Amino acid sequence: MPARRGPDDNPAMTLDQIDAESPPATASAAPSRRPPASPQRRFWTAVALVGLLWSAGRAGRGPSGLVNVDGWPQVTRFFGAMFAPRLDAEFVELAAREALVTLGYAVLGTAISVVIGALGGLLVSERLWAPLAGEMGARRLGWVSARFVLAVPRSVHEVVFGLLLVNVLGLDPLVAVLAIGLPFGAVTAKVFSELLDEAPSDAELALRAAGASRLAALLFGTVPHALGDLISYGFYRFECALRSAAVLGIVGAGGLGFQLAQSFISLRYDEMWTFLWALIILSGLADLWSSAVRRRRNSAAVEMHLADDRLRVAPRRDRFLVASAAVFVVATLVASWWLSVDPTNLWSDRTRTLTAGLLADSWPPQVGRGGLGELVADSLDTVALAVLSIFGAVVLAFPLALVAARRGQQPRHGSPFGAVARTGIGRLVRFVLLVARAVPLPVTAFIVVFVVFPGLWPGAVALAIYNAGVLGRLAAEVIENVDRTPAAALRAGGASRFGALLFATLPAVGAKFAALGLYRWEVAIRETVVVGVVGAAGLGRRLDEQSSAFDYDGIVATIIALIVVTLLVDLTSAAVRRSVR
Amino acid sequence: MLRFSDVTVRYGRNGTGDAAVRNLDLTVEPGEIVALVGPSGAGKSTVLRLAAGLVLPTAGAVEVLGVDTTTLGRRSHRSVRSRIGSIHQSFALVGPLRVAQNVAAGRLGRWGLVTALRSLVRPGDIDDVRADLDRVGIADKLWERADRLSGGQQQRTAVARLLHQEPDLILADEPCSALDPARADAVLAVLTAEVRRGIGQGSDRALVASLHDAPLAIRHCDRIIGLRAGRVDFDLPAGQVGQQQLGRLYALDGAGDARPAGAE
Repeated sequence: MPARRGPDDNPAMTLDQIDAESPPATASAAPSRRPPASPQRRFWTAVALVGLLWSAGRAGRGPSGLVNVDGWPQVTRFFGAMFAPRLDAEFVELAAREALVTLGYAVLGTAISVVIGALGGLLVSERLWAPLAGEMGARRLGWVSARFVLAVPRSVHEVVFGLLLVNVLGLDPLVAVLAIGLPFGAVTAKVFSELLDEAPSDAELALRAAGASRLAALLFGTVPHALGDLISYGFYRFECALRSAAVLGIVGAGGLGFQLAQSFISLRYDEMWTFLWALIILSGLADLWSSAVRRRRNSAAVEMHLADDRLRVAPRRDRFLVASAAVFVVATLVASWWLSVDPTNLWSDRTRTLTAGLLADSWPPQVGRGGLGELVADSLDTVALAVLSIFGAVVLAFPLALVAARRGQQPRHGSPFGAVARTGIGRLVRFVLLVARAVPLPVTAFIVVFVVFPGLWPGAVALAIYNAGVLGRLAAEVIENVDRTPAAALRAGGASRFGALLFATLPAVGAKFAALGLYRWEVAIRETVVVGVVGAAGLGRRLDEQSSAFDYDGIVATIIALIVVTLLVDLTSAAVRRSVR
Repeated sequence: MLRFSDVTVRYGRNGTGDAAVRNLDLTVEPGEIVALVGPSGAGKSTVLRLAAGLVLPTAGAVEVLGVDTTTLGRRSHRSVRSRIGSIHQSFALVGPLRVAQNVAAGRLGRWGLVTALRSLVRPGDIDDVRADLDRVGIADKLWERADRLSGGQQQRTAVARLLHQEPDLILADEPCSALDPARADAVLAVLTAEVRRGIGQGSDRALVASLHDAPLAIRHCDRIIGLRAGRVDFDLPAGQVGQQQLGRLYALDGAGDARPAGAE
């Protein structure tokens, strides 16, 4: 234990002596009242509250209230089947086969997104375009346009990609793979470019000064710094891809999601739970793998704006990371064989004809029925939906995260029974969070619709539950990574568990939780499409109606609205983060 | 080899800051081994960065290997850049790469993209790499990761990369500041030997090094240039530099000693 210095060390020291050592109180006359929080912080807090009230007002109260008590028996029946899934050999075999399909989509989608991310990230990194002294800097235009090209797929949800691709490729596994790979690739490219831009630059500069070309200097001097982080981020994407693959199945791509939807239509809850358990197990394993990889280098933190130098520095060669990457490459090969993916379909004559037809049908965009006014109203509904769901998710997730976080080896206070109970409760909460995010969002939405009257609210509740599952896990990771010495010091000084939480842990994680909430708000805007597809509200419902009517120029108009809303939300979120940092 | 004509450099936005270098005229001929000495803020680093084309003069002109540095960014002049070897006090190594790749990267300016990519796996000129590492005494570290090396070993790896590049003009910015006296002597001995080896064999080379340690400079270099507040204070053969010049150079009285922002 390090030597402590202070008045305590000298018991002979009197209070007067201590006073004599400290400067006179008048010298640094701090006002006795606490100064108010920074103006930006107060401003954004007010904006958040107004936004919440506005969203709640927009959701309103239906003519018959909010909660539909009559639907309650359906919900109890659904959860009643949780521990009585259909388990005969034939059915389990089906579930296992379908699970492999879903897993295959996720693996291949992730692989494509990492490839796109690696190439795109190089292309949009500021490093590549930065001029050396005396060079022409006019390629700024190239950088800006590359960024813009990537921003578009990033704002469009996988399900929308799926709806478009199925028109061109038909029932081909490539639909699900590309629907995951393209938007995830764009996100990965953004994260990779930020990793590259933050890596040490001296080596690259030295190589450029010695005559190396931009690309060669970047590859040799900077990419080695960011490569491990790219791979570890790929595992976070894999975890997300698995959930996405299940949702894509529900909208028709096959795999567990598709079977789940079939069983739901015939209200076979026991069958549903067989598939849901398969998803929970897959999802749980993927999450464990992903966090084991990221425990060493948390590059996902870059995307969530939690980047922390302590987490990012990993100078040692990471065997676990390399082994995981090797396993993933093998899985990619196995999955493309198992799903019999045929990339030549991408440029077959049929695909070309259908693409040309789709483009002709969808241009120019048509706002359609209801005019611009309704499109704007639907866009506002989408924003309200995301705001409500994120507030709900934050309120649910962060307290649960405090319980769910693994705190490692701690000095045991109190009875051993208490410690065992706490571990048990922690496990239970982690499991509940896992179920919340592993059950595909459309399924959650349909269950919620049993008890909440249609409108914005069921969508908001379903999104809140799902996002609480995701946020709770991410927030628990933040807590696990936080420096524990202040809390331990308070505890050693006699503070209660709650006191240490209040004075040490919460202040350390507060800003990061806010960043997480904002990050998830950006994602939730995209996800509103999924609950919209089940008829909730906003641009998603509009998209659902248009796609069942094959109204392609309408779909394009809706997608444009979606992109605009997403970009505006991203800008707002970035502004908040800058001011409260 | 290197020619500065009436060069002034101001840092800061639009070059409005204090001058780091003022009206400097300087010529270095092939075969010369030149040390820049002077207090911090005197402009030593700026002179070296001007010579490498990493900083462009606010006024005046810098010509290196027969080419105006304002044109060095052009693709056609990458071959000129590859003839200029720089070494810094921060070693500018790529930590996650192995020593072999770090040293091989010295020739990146002469390789096409395919060769560069292949060399990330195994450098084609691995025997040369080994020989260059041998000259700095760490041939056994060939396959070690650069960020696992000690500070001294990293410095020697950076020197090996420079040797591997086989540059005509070596620019060394405080190459010894992170080293103990014995290692500092060794590094300068390797660098100056590299220059002297080329003399008279048709491939005349030159070395310009900034050194805050004046006795070290006098021991190893032929020509000493004292810089003070961005100007040349003296420019003498090493044998003629004595306590008189150095005392004046490092005196703390001068008003011109004010440190220009960002000069070092």
